Amino acid sequence: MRPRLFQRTLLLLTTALLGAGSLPVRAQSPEAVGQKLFTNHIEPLFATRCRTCHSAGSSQGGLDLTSREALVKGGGRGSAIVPGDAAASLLYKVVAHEADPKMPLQAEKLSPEELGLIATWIDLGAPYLSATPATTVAEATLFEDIQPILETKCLVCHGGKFKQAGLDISTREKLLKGSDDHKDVVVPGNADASLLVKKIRHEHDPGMPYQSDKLPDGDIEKIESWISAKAPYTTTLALPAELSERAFSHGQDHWAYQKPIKRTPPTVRNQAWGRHPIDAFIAAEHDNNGLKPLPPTSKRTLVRRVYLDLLGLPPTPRQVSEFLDDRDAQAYEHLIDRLLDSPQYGERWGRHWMDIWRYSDWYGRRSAGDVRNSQPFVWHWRDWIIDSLIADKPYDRMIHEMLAADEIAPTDTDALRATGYLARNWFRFNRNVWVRDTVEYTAAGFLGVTMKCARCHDHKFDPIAQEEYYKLRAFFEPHDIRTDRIPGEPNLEKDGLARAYDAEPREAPSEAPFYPAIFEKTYRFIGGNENNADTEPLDPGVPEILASASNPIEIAPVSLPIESYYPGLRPAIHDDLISEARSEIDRAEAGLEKARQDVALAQSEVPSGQTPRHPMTGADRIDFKQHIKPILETHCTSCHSRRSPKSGLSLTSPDAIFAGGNLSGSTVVPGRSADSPLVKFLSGELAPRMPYRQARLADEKILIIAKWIDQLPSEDPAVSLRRGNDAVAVAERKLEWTKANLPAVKARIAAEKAQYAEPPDPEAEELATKALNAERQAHLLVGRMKLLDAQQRLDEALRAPQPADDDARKAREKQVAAATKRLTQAQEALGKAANEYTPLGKLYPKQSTGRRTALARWITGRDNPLTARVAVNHIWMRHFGEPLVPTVANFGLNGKSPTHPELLDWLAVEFQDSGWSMKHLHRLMLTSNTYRMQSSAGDSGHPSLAADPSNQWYWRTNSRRMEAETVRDSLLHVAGELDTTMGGPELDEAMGETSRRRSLYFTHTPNSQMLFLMLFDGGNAAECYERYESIVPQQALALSNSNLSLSMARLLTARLDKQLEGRDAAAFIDTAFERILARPPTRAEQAMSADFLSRQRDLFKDPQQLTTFKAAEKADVPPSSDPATRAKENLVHVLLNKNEFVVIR
Amino acid sequence: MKHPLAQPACNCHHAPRRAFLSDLGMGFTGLALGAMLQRDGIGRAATAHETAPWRPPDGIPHFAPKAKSVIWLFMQGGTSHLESFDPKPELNKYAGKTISDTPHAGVLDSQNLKDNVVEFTAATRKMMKTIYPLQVGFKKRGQSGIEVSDWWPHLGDVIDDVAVIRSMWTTDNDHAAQLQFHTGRHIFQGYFPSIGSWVHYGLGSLNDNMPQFVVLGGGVPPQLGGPAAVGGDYLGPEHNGVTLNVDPDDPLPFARPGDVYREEQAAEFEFLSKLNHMEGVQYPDDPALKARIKSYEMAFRMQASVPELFQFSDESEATRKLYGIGEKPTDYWGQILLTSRRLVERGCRFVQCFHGYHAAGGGGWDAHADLKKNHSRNSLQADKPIAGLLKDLKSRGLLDETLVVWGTEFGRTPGVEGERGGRDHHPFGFSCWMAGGGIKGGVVNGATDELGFHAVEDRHYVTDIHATVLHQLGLDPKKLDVPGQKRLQIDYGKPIQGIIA
Repeated sequence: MRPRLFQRTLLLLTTALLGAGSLPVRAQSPEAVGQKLFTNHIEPLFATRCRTCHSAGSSQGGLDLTSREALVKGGGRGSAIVPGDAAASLLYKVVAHEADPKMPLQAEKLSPEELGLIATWIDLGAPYLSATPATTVAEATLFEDIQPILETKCLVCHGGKFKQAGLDISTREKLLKGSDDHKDVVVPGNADASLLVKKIRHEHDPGMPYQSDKLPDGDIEKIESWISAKAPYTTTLALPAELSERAFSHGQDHWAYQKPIKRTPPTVRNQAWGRHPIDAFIAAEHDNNGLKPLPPTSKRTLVRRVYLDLLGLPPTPRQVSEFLDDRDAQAYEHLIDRLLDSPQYGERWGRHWMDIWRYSDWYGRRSAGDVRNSQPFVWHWRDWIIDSLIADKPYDRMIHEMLAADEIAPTDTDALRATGYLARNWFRFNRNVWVRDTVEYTAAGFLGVTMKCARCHDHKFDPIAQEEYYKLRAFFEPHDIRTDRIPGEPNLEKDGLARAYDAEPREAPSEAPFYPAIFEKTYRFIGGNENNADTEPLDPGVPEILASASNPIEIAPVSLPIESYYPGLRPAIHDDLISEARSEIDRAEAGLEKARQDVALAQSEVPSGQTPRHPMTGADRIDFKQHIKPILETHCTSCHSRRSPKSGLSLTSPDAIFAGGNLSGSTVVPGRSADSPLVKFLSGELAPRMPYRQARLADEKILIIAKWIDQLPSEDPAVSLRRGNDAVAVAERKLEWTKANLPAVKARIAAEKAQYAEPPDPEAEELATKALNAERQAHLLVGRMKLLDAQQRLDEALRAPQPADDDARKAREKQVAAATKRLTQAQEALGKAANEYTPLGKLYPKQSTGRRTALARWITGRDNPLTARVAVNHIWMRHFGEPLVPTVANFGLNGKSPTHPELLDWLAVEFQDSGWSMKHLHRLMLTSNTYRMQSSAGDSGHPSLAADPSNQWYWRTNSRRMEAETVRDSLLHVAGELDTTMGGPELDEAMGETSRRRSLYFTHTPNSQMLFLMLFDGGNAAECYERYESIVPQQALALSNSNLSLSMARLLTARLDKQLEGRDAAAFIDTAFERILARPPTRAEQAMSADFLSRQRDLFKDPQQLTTFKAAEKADVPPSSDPATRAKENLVHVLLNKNEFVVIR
Repeated sequence: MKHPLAQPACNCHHAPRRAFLSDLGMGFTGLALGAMLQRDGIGRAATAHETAPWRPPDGIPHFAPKAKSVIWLFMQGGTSHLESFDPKPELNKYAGKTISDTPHAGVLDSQNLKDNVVEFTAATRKMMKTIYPLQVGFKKRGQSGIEVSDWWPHLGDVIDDVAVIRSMWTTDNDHAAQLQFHTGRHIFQGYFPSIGSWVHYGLGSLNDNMPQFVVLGGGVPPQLGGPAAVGGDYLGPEHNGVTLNVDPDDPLPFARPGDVYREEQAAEFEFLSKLNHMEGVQYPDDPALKARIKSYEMAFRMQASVPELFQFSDESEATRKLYGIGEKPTDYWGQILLTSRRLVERGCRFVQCFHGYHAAGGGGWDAHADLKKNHSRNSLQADKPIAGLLKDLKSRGLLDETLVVWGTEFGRTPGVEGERGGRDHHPFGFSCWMAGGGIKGGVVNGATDELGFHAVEDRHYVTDIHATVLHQLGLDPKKLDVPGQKRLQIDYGKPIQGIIA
């Protein structure tokens, strides 16, 4: 539009400048030209660019642009215009950016043409017409003309629930606000400049009405002339009754939004096969598609299939024969029951649900303990998942606990672990990112709804308005994560329970430690931009399309029990506090004893006149720069450098090492490596072992450091003696303090118990006084200890000789200053007396909003059409290799329809009817014929293969490759090496090739995942609703060349050899096949294997002739030196690499 | 759940594409499978059941491309623009004065200081107020007379092939700007697909036996974004960069078995193949089995083919010398750049080479102190091999189709940091350059102010580099959009028209 506008401007400018020229318009007076200019250009410009802030109602800077008088009067800085002189007018200066503040404020500058128009208009005397003229009768008629067009063609998407592109046309005021991206939807008085007109003329993509026919020309003209008349409104628009919003909104009929109904399974031709309800539904489609199901698979194949499916581990030969020999008609059912009772079922299926629920261990900078995403102890949630599955906790209850255990079971620490689901999304730097993930993954994981589209705009496919995204977010708005102490573990660095609770709103701190804000209210973010929040706060609510009168959202605040909002009042924590105080006494006693021994030692050395030892010279001498610095730089200085001294400790120079940190003092005791904290931390004698959460340092390296310390010159015995005596004095004070602290702790506990007792304890006040006094006493003693310590440090610093060079002098001055400061602080602290005793921990809000409980109830409500279907689909996919609804996390309009809708619904309702029992579903699915078929027709020309090549109708069972974890676990398991220890903190993923624990216990984050698992398509910790199966050469490399695979092959060979006690090669081959592939070899395989064994044996007879791989790291388990055994190792290794091993047939 | 190749072969005449693929074997599949499927219009492995109307890219450029491949050189730690490609004589003139005592005091009032920085720590990074003179001299080089610092003499020799961009800006003033340079977003906003993954996603493979998106030199350390800086994020893990070690003995994980003889392994693989073929008799309708047999054959060959990338012995002595291989300061980086040429030559789309990798810190160029020592050392390592790469590509006729990008996370302050002569991080204005692949040589785009403080002319956010790369490859970033993954306007960037030939 700009070119056209510009031409007109030129015309007008020419007219104005030429005055009495020869143009036809020259007859017009400057006043008339100015008025026309005002009506056509200036007023629309003011309306769209200026009056949001400068109108009578909102006169920023005191400026009101709605009348000429107001404009001439101006704002706080005087007259805005000097009629007739644009250059002198403040208004012109600020829009031309000749003066501050540049206008429009923080928005795009007006175009040169627009500036020209304003200048011309002011120069013409700035004539004004009333900005908002009263609606005339003629105009009202105009509005009535177009009202039906707007209501039937536009309002459905722009003004009801949906405000596509942020545009709401229901009132004039809202219409003039424009859309999220365009302010100029309607420019009153200027139809050509109005985006609305361009849209309906189909001059601007997408044309409107959206994906519909263009409006009749007559209608378009009506709208144009209405806008030319400044778009008057007489009423608020409303959808006509026949177009009621819901009826019109698309998706009303979508299958997934209808409540599932359990229909009687159909009667099918193959009645014997189709007796089981699942089979009836499947067989009906066989009938429809002319397919015949393959026969049941062999018992051998079946037993391996079901073991791998339920436990993620292949059966041992004994387990196979147990099943084969079981003649009971119910043998298979019994097997399923046994497996479902096994704790390993919890691990196998726990890993599946960890995918869906997006499990991730904490990440950020793991080497520095810097948590940025998720939470350090989120593994408690992983263990809760496993425990819940083992116990067959109802799925609805699981959802309740994950979303709101803090409200429904506030004192049940087992259940509280479930809220790790929420803690996993914690993001240190941005609350919006955190809650965004919670909203979107909750919708996708539990409901199969893709909310994330609606973050920025109304959903393009599903009937979900952008506002509804933020209403869903409002359920989560108040929640926060805190870490409660775990009874028996006072150190929150080691363990704790990261759990959800509803917090008070707070701002994010501007200094470290950073943590996210908690917002009080929820707003729609315009265009999804968190810096552009809408103005109206939103209440919690669910998408209207899914809402149901019989499954309402009912939010009731929850009053929390005191143990919940005041975790320090839990009796178990009292015991811990007391035992902590006791062990402090023990430590202080030990410290005093040690200090006294040091004095005795120093005394014995003083009279002997022993001279201090000096550094060694010569070849044996350890040099800091040459030997020690490289070690520290590789392993330690990422956390302990001058730039980032964790715990105040820098390890970059000997001086810094002697100075030590603020936790353990000097890290070295010269000449005494065994007493040096540096060595103790590296060796693990002191916890946490260093480097923190990294592999232990090689012994040689620790040894070199120790040697270096032992070579350091020890100090003058006289100095040692003085320091020793000083240390004794401090240790004595420390002991005094710890002894006073124990009764103070007890008194505080007693006082707090009384304080919160129900009914009120009459002695509360007295106990409070006692606690205060006891704590004051302890406080006094700790103050005295610190004072003495500070005094000693200052003396020590002052005593040091005045150094010659500048740097050293500065360092000394710093030391003295620090010691002086410490002394002053100690003095000040001693002077302060508390008025109240310290409580036993943090107090949290006594109430929770109940929002998340309400959401959980709605999600699991009987009438929620999605929850059960989504879960059933996930379970089905993991048993049958394909989901019933192919888009497992999207049941919306853009997702795919179920292949077997009635079966899905039948299962969904059955799931609900069974009390949401997953084990019931497993049994149901596994006992079907559909599950028990052969996976192969054994014939590439089989007719069903041509009729249904993708096996959409389940005429056979799908064969699958094992998931990554199952591959690794099975390797360990067949070798008899699997460590079945369950649960606990995540294990370093770098240990994956050496540790024998199950794969699900290793660190799994978007930043770090065990390489072996990654290569086998291990789950993506950021989002994984289904695994994909690739077949890539790197998998072959991992299975053939990894330490894990080679070591397992060698260990298994040794184990089999031992078990067979010297029986022949044929027996070995049989047993190896049984053990690894759960079946005996065929005759041909037996013969080929025997041949292979003998040829490999010959190969190793003369190893000199063989070539090695260059620079390869050796496996943990070396190959056998006996050619025959090594040949067997090769056979076992080949079987572990055989396709069959990683396939579930 | 089924792998993408698990479609049974059918007997009709047209070999179905998927079956065909599995018969073909998959080349270097883990690396190339995704790309290959896309090139063949099959779609992403993970999302076989995904939505109907949208289709992933078919690997065909959206318009005629100027370049086929990209070599992306990234200097970690933040190379001083002032001592490389953007000389500022005013710094010498006012050396020792505070900025506010110069006629250029206005730089401290710029709105950029507030608008363009998302602080990592809440306390604003201290401004380095005392002007620090240039630590190196500059000369006009080449026909174009572009000024290049004396620390980059070899690059000066080829400056007429280079387009220097002197007006970059970013918003992270700490080293996670490394992530930002590659994904276009500040680390606070989370992770997004990296530029290499967009290219991989958009174009796929030129050679199925090669990794298509390779990372050399270590990548970005975890605390600065780690794998995400070279990752595919929502495009899927198949678009992640594959890190290769420049080490023929250990180029890929698990590429070498420990204490196993070559003959032993060969016999095992042969026997294994026999057993698997027998399994095939029982399961003739299982394409996955065929694919696995092929994958073992390929794995066996890969043990040789990937290390072959690093067999520099088949390069002439002159070529090796060109890259500075065999000379101490340039050897490692020279090997990386020679590898990058060998990769591109074999059809690799995107090679990212990192210089100055520090596992624990910001990177080699992070000269908070002793800038002179630091930058002269780093330039010495980087200069000759980079110039060698450009010369080598040109002499082989590869420069026309290979776009070389040189970047860094930010520049360094005009003011001095500390007593030992350093410069601090500086996101408000810094330099990058590009060469080859349809880029004009011997031109300068954009400018910083007289102190080198703010980019003032033709300002470019980091995604303008991405946009230029995609443009030269014939890709329209908007057409690569994935449904449900809304991108902001700034994510797309704008191609830098001034340097496009």
